[in-house]
Amino acid sequence: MGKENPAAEKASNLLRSRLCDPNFVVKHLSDSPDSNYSSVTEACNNSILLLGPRGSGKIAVLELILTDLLLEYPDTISVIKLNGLLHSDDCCAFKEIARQLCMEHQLLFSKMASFDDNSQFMIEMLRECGLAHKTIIFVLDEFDLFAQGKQRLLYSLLDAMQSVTSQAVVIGVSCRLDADQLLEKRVRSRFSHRKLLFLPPSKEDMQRLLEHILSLPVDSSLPHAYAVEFNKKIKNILADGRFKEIVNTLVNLDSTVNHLLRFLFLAVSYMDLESGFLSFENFKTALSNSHRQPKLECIKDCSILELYILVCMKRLEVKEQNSYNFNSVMKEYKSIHDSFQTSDYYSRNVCLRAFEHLLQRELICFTDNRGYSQSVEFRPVKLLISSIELHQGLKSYCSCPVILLKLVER
Amino acid sequence: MAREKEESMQVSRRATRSSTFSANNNGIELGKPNDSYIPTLGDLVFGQEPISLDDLLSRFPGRRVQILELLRLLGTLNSSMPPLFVYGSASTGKTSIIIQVFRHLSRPFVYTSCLSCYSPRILFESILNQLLLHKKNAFNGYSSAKRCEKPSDFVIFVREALINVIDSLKENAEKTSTSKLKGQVNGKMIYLIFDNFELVREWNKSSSILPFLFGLSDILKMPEVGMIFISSTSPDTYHSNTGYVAPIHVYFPECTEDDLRQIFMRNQANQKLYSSFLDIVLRPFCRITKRVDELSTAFSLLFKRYCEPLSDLGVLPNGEMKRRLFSHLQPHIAPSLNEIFRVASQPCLECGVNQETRRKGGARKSVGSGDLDDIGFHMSTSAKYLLVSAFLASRNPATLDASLFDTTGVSDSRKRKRKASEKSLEQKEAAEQELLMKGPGTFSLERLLAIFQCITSVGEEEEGNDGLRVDEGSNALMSDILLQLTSLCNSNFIVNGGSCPLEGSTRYRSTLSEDLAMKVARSIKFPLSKYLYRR
Repeated sequence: MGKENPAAEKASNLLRSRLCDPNFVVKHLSDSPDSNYSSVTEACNNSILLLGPRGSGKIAVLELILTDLLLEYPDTISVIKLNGLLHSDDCCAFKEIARQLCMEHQLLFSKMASFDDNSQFMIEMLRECGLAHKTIIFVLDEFDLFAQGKQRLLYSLLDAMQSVTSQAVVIGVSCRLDADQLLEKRVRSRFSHRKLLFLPPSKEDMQRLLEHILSLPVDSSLPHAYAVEFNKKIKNILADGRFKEIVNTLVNLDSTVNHLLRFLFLAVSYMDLESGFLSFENFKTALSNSHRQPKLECIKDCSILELYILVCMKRLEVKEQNSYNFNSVMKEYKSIHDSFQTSDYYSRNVCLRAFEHLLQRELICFTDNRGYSQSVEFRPVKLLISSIELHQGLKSYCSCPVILLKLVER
Repeated sequence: MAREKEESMQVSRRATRSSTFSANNNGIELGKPNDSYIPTLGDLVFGQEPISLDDLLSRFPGRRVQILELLRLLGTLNSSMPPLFVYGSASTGKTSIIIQVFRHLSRPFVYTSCLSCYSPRILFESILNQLLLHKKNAFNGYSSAKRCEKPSDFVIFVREALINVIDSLKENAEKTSTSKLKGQVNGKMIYLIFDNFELVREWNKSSSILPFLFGLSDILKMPEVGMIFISSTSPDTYHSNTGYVAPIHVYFPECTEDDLRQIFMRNQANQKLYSSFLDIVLRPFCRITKRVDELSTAFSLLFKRYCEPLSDLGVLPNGEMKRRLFSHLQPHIAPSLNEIFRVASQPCLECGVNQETRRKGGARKSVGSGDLDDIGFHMSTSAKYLLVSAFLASRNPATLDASLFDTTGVSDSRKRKRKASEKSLEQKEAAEQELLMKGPGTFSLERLLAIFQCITSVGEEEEGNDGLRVDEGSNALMSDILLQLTSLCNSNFIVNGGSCPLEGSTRYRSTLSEDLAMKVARSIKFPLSKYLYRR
């Protein structure tokens, strides 16, 4: 597509890989929790919870710290990572712990080991490592999922930490701010109630972050003049008042760093590869693309017959019929046709098929979950869009029949 | 504290009869390993000639914006990408466009559809099979490469497999040439495509599988892996308790009328003729539906009818001819609109000839009413009687059976007409409303058989001796009737309506519409309307 600018391609690739790599962002913003350091150096047992909305960089910060620690104390730390989505089942969790411990210490792992074997193994390993002054760090991602059920894993981990011989740190990461309330009493008593909240970055931090991410490195393989020009343009865009407004709109919706990164990715993907520079237009297009209204788009996709059915259902709701099904909708449809003599009167089969299309689009749904013995025409349905959305959708529908607008407005 | 390491079992643990048999019997030839196809890295690419961008854009008229957006998001070679979520209503071209885009880019991908992989285990194993370049054939007993049920196992296996594939891709990239060869693999990234993703919401463990799949790229933390989810419902229909990693959304809107025109004009032999045809039919049909698959079946039939007066299909229509063709087609458009979703089965195509002769006979019957006497499926007479009895059993309350079906023959059970008071009118309306809402009632098996016996005896009386021979070996006929009933249940004419709360016996419900019941009754010459309870 036109002249290819290899420098632009390289720049775009670099920016994209930065935006997909959370560690790059976090390095710039990090404020490290010192508690982890203390646990290792002073050889005491500790537990901590990292809490914050999804996408605020908790795992990234943790990774950063762990890499730093591993560099500083290479032999005295082993890290075990568990994820609540994968290992919430206790058997799975212990098996995974045993597997990771075996990998770390070059032992042979048996897949056939039972749950008791695995838990015994873990306790013994903790004791051995404690005697050898090695710390084991347990990272529990999606901590709230571990707190479902009987919480055996949490209890055994935190219990094992109570003994003097073991040296372990348990770090829980969760996006539920009340994750510690989910713990059982005996687990909670063994948990040191330390929580670290990840708050959204302030405006100045955000500004610095943007500049840091979007500026190309001047002394890399990219041509020097190009990089300098690119950075100058970026500075101009960032200082622009309209851009600040865009960032404000984004932050008002979702103030996590991840959201900002997705927006930047979209903007970078719109970058014009011929000229090789980001422009303000790219950011504007990215904003309109990331703020979508799926239900309105759905309504725009509907055919006119489907709109008729939606309007009929709306009218039935307005008439305060608590539950209605396809047959009642058909009755309403017929009455509209009789009173207004519309040209769009189709047979029942056609309407039934349009009704099924609406079900597929998830603009309407059945209200009963177990009524499978009834055919589609008799099961009660309800609308999944509000009247405002319907109204807006009809207004923005090109060539919408006037009768529908009139009916909705009444 | 050393533990034994065990080899991972490759073949499934269940020994089927064929595998044990062939293992024991050396004389039987197994699938010859020499003939079986050994998949290579090139199998991860589309597998046919790559196409140019113009070719890609011309294959999908009206989708230019979406194709360019996809290309932009996928980026140049080896650029990383967060997960993509492609959504749009059915038949908008999402799957085909994505596959053709990958064909154009010649990048390796792994495609799984959540329609054919209907459980997590099958989904995981399908992905692993493709990544490990494992083909199921007779040689390995049609088993997967690895047995994988849980997400935790899947993450371990897929990470290994992905590392292997990426390494071989890197090696391949070192020694690549610039010419576009068939089967050439570009780049060091591999993409996982999940199609029909909306079906995952209905799986058993969907509350844990959905966030797992959405967050798979975060869990794996491999920048060389890209993920694409294709769904026919919008992203706000995916509910989760604690949310999940937000992918980038790509929206495929429905085709506009102009797009549809361009799509239908492709591959037409006579462009001008078809264009004049579309001028007539496209607008009215678009008011009902804009889906390409539904419109194309309707249009193909109509176009045949449109071309009927023409002797030469290659002719270019001028103004006068267009008017003539239009007036020929005009009467067929309205009924065809009402038949738009019907797919013609074989008998109907033959009936079309009969209908022609009927129509030429004067009375202008529309296509719809021509089918009034034709049910469209074949059934034995006793099955038809069963259907009618089921319909009656569902429609009429049980208390009326005695008066309707008394043994002295058909009696007219209509009440003497009294002057309708206001209260009874209201009651009538409420009862009608209830009928609309509740649907057909349930009946027990005994009641159905009793009504069946009554009806067939009536039918026999009316038709004389050429009707059903019920009294001859009626015991044998009863078992046939029960078999008929089972087949009616299997074809959903009669469904299970839940069990009676007092006795616990199953009750049935008829799903026949009144029109169809009338048609069936007419075909066996049964006066259905006399027996229907009118409130």
